[in-house]
Amino acid sequence: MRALTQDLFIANEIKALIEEKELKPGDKIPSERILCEMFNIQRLTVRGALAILENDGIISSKPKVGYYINKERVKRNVNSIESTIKIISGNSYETSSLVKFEEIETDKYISRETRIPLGTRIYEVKILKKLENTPVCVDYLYLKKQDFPTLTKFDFEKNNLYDILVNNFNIKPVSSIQKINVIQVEENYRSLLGLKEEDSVVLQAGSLYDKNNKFIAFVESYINYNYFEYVLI
Amino acid sequence: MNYQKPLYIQLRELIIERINAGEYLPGEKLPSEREMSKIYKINRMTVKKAIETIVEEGILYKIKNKGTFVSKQENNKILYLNDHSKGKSIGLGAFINSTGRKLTNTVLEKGVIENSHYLEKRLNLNKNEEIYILNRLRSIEGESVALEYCSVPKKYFPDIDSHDFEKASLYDYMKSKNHFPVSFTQSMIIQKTNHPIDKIMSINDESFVYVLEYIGKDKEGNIVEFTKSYLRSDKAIYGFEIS
Repeated sequence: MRALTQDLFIANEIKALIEEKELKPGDKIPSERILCEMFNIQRLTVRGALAILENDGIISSKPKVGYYINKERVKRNVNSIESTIKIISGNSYETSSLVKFEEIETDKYISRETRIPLGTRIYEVKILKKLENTPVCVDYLYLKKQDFPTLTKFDFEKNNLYDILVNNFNIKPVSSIQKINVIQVEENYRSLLGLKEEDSVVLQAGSLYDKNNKFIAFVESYINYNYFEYVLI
Repeated sequence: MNYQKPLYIQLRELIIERINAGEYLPGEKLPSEREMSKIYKINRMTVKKAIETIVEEGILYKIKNKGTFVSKQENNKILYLNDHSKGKSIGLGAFINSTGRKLTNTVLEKGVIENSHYLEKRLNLNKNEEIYILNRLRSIEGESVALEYCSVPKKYFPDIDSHDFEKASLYDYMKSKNHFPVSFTQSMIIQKTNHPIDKIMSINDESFVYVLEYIGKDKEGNIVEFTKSYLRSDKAIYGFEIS
């Protein structure tokens, strides 16, 4: 079987063309007819290539008008703990709204993920992130009450977790293993993120530790996969 | 091992460690409780307790009168862990081998590719410099796991075509040519599979894949690799370590 089919090859070439012409989000790309002439290929191949780019989220079609460049995905930078946490919990979104701030006891699941004993009192903070009014991400933060007794005072809508930890508690998270998984979730998560019934959700989760390898927090993000790109430069 | 911990916790950690290391593979039977009790000179009830906690988590399951087995579900997805902080990336092949699973590589295409402006840009080459591509389907036990589109500048690897990359590791070969990638620029998105990837990987078009792109540079800073790979999300968890 061929791996590099002709339409995939052309899809890549159109991508290079978009970069070369420095086309920006909202710009129209050359028409099917022009692309046919440019690459000396049939209409069917061009359509196949454009369908690939559409599925990749690079372009969108407007019927009878043409294809347009989409907005870029939000980059989640995984170079450093600071950039990773900040984008998990604040700053690059237009709005963050606090959905829940509760004191709970660790259940089996959280206890397994964090190695905190079952029944420990912890704060659960749930934050909904929006991008241009579209919900794209739901974050859950879990911190031990004993470590952060004054946590309830802080505004998680205006500040992100990283800044709160560093500025107010003088605690700096330096290491973490973050796991990204694609999962099926309950309906209320999907509807919160504007996803369809058959859609999966991306779950990024991991604990944060300080330089002495002491547990600071456990963070989970439920993410609409269409809006994000992970990068390491 | 920490001797402060109760024995059943120590045994529990030992079993989980061995599962993660691939010593006990998915579907495989664990030594019986009686055997473990004999090996470690631990009370049978303690062994039972250790196993029960792991069964509770779904990592093991029991079949009556047959024994305890390693589950094949969620918990047994491969954790493909990248230590980004060191800018390193271990090849998928080497990574899977290190977990004790046997990876089969099928070369779908190889050779010099012409007129790919896209790859010239990614590899930072001129029009007249040759690009060699190697596209492989990677499977475990007859099931596809990843599809990799790899491209390299031919100038660094003049005899690449005479090697069999169904058997040999590409990174080992690159090392032998002194153009081994030591630093990477990477990106990853998650999407539904689509034509032609779904058919090549024999998965349906509602399945999700991790799409990884990376550019590798050797110690002199030359771009020696551009790879785009599709990794099945029902087979793997993508992890990254920051430290």
